[in-house]
Amino acid sequence: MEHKKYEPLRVPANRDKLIARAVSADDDSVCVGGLAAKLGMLDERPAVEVRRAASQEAFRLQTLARFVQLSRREHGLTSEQFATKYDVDVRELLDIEEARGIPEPRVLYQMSRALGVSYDKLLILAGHRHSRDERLDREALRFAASSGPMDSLSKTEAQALHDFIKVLHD
Amino acid sequence: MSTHPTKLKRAATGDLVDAVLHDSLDLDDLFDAEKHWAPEKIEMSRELLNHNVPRALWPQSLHWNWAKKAVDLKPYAPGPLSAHRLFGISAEGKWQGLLLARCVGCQTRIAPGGRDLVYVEFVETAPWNFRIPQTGRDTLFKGVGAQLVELAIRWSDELGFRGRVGLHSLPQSDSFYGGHCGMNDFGPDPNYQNLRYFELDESHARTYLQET
Repeated sequence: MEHKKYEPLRVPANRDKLIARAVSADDDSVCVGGLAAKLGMLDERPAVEVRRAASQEAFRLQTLARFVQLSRREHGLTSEQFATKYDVDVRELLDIEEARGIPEPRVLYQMSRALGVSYDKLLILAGHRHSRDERLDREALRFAASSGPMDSLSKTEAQALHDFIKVLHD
Repeated sequence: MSTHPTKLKRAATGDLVDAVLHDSLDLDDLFDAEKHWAPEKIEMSRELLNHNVPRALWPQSLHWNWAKKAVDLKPYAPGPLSAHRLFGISAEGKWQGLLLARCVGCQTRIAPGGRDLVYVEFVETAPWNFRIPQTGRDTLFKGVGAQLVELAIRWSDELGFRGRVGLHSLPQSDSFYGGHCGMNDFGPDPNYQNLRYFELDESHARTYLQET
């Protein structure tokens, strides 16, 4: 086998203690599956379970999206102003507000600082951590159910809506 | 390819046997390993079925088939200009375990701040190194996983990442990474089908490597 671009690893000649520790480890199973998960080699759950999990994930992301959007609007800031003020990437902010995918922990950390809320709880809302907090689950549901947009449509929005409805009737 | 002599423990007798650590392997080595592991996996599946072992207790990597994913694997292939590196350990002329790691595009989750780490894409051991009490099957060799992880830590250290390593463990391996390896447990990661994400911090890495 040819040697690759990397220099050979520097491995000490005497690793006796390390070997002793390694062979005494309880290593019946040591498999790591990040790549297998990405390549779809992992999921053998019945389809109904996969759908249920996806639905829960979508609900959590919608709740997070609504929370971030309302908080920003409460600050009276546009997305761009908010992003600039709190040093958040505007595309990542828009992705959260549109519930487009699961935000990375780094982004959630920035959001927790910007909004003055718990980083851990944002991790739970985004699905990075499993919630054992029944109160958070209950309040998230209540928030999602009571925070839907109630604003009246502007004239332009109403016209656009009616125009689109006409198209859908055709 | 560079190699380094090491030892594994034969579980049945407790004897230490000669083994070899390999770095900079390529996908051919992975397929070669898989070719030799496949018949043993089939035999193991037969034993599990015959002993009516519940599916939940079967080794979670038993159905993996990298050859079937050969096309998808191309972006992960180690080689010139690749961010990936494949490590292995062999004994008695057979692959005992492999570890594929990546050195680009992964940052620590311990404290947001953009510090890089080596991400372990997969670890798989030879099926004869699984222990399945329900079928009476014992591990052939012990010490495979810990020494593969050691190579990933060494690579991270040599890259200037101070030994930081991250990975998504299969559920049956959570106790190994959270316990023996002393990695920080970040819980289930929804981006990886809820596998738990573990990360080795600098201080644990230092301890790990200083035990030589």
